[in-house]
Amino acid sequence: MNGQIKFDQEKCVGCFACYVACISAHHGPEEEGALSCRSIRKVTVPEEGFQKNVCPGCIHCGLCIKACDRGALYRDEKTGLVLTRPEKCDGCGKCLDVCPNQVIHLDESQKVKKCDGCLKLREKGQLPACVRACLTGALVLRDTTGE
Amino acid sequence: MSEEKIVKTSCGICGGGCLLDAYVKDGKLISVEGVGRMTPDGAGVCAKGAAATQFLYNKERILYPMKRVGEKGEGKFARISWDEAYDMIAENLMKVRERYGAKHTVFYTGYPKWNRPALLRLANAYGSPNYCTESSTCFQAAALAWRSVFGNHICPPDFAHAKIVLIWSSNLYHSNTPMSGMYRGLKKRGVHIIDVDPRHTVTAHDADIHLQLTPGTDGALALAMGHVIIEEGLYDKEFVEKYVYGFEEYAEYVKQFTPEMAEKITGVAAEKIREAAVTYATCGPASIMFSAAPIVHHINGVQNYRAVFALCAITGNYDIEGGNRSQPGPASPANEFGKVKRFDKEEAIGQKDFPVWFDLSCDEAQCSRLADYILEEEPYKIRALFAMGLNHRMWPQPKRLGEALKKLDFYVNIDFFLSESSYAADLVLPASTTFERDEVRTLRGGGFYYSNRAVEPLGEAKNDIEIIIEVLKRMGLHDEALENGYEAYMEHILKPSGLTLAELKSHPEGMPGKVIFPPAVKTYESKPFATPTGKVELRSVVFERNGYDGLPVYRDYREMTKVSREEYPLILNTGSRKPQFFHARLYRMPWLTGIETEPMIELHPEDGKKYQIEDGAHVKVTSPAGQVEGTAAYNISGKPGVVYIYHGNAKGDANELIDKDHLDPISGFPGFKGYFCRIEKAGE
Repeated sequence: MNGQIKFDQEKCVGCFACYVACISAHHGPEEEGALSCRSIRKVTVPEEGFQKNVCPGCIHCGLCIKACDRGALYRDEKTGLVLTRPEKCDGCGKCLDVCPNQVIHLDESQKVKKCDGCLKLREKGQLPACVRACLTGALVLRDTTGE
Repeated sequence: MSEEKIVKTSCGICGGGCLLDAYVKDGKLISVEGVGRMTPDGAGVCAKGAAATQFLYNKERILYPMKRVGEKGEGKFARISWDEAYDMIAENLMKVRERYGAKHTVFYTGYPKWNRPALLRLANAYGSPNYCTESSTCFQAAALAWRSVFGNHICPPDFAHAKIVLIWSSNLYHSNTPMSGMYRGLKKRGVHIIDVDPRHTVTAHDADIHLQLTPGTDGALALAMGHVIIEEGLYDKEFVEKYVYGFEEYAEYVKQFTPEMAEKITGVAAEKIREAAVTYATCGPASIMFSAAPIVHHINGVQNYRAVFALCAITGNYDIEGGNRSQPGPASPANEFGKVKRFDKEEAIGQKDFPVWFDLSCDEAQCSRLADYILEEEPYKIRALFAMGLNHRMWPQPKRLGEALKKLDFYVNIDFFLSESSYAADLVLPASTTFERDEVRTLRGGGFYYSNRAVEPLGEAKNDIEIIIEVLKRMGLHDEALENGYEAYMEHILKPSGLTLAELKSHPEGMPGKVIFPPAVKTYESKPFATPTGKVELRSVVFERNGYDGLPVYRDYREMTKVSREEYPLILNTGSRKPQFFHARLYRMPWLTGIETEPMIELHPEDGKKYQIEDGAHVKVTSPAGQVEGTAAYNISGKPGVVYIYHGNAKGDANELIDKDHLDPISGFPGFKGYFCRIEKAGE
């Protein structure tokens, strides 16, 4: 299943479904400390007395690749996704600092962990977990192969 | 390694019962996916469903029958066999029946709901009038309000044909996330949405008109809308004349509720009230989308909802296309849900306190004051409690109920998880989740669905109804629907539909019943309303004969209270749904509790300034009933002066703040969403 995950903040209602689906897709139920590769951000519109949470994910912008001295992050040529080489990571956290959506974290062994585009699911012909969970259309998989 | 397979099942993590495809590998649940949603991409699940594996394989699951080995309340148990457990139940319950009488045993069920008719059958066979459920504080008061007006079961909105949808009150994006696609669909079709909600929620944000009222003032707002509709001559004169009882008195009563007066009570601008009233009355057909709890969790809740439902009556939006319809789609008959009558030849608990509950019967006893009934032994001593999924945190002052449970001679709780609610039990039994059991499901629109077990039950977990059937047999009792076993019971559910169990099992996607009733409109033209007058009752005969106001009279809890507002200046609103929680049961799931700090005390930044509380500060909330500590979270979507806390959290349970006697005298529902508190920084 090809395409890029697109997130529309306007359509997001902060239901956290994608946030949790991301954890579930990458971890077993016994992994209680597992973290999501999506983040939660509060959006406020003071003049309307309105606020909501939104759950942005990785946009595969590649800023983290540039920030990393050790080559623990790279762009996969085939898919265009920014992926990790945890064995090269020394847990310095520079990638976390530059991430615009705050969606990179260090796992329990202090190695870099981020969105892998749910490649394993997509190889099976399934949607990425976050897109599959979203009920509002805020997350879609847009096919970019023809562009 | 075996292949991943997809099993047609359903979800029971909350009460919604969404149909699901379960992805299973090597006998283990891997993930779940929603079925049949109107989303552009993906099939959709909510946050709770997305964590399904952590629900099913939770380390707090009860895996075997266990009996108490420590003191009551200590929570010490030892494994026993099912055989021993069944014998213990039969012996203890029969002893109570023989020595004291059947009514001294209470049969109770919380969530899930699927086992309710079967448990009611068990209570009936045993001879106890005391069958009750968590609906003593959820939904039934809304249904009662409706029934007092129209005489029938609460009529759903006909979304497919509505031009106006009046949401009163529901933040469906968070409380019923799978409705998101439907809601977006309404918007796309150009349906005009009026949303009544004390907070500017994401649902309200998508509405065309948002009436942001002070919690609990719904009655005043609805009466003011009635005022506008009558004053401007926008009501349905023909319908009112032919079918409505008490219109004159109602019209007279609403005269005082000018929009300007209602503005003072509700905080909603008079102009907005006028606009909403005129829109609802003239741009229809108009549907009211009701909700289970927010309105009736106020001490004037039933009357407030009656005032809302009166709008449906006076505008003739009852039982028309696009209004609130008795049967908006095709239907197929089925046995069990809503069909089993409660044994009512003896006085049930709650009957003296809440006579209307029984007069407009929902075939359940009213157990909102269960702790009082146990501790004070009125109307008589409760000796045994046969409970399924009892959660003491559903109720006001849960600690008190927890204490009361220790006083029982015999208490059995059947549950998924070993919760604190079971600590006082003599016996705890493991129930299987929807992922581990087979079940016949009736669907809207006359459909049926066979929900399959996706995996084998964990440990020795059994399905609730199989447990009920065995308990019935061990006590030597009889019930024709239950006594032939679980397969026969499922067959019995299906029978009126014309389907057989074998047929349904061979249609994994579900199938329509063979006996089908077409959608209906204006059923009142051929059959009188099932009220004492045979008409829509804006003035309720049942209410009046039980000593309550017949009209939907507005009483303001802020004026009625004896609580000092100087000491407790803030309004306390508890339990408004969060997408990741469901009462108390999901706090044991780290993937969900990790989302936000909890317990979270939501307050407006203006109140933060006023009481010197920064965003994120550790705070203490105090009400006349109790105290809770948590983390302050600024939230501008509510108005200043109101504090919001979700309930059921053992680390700080908002329900401890709700006085047990702060309840609606008609329904017995606690005023969870309209009480009083103060907030201050907690000591380090």
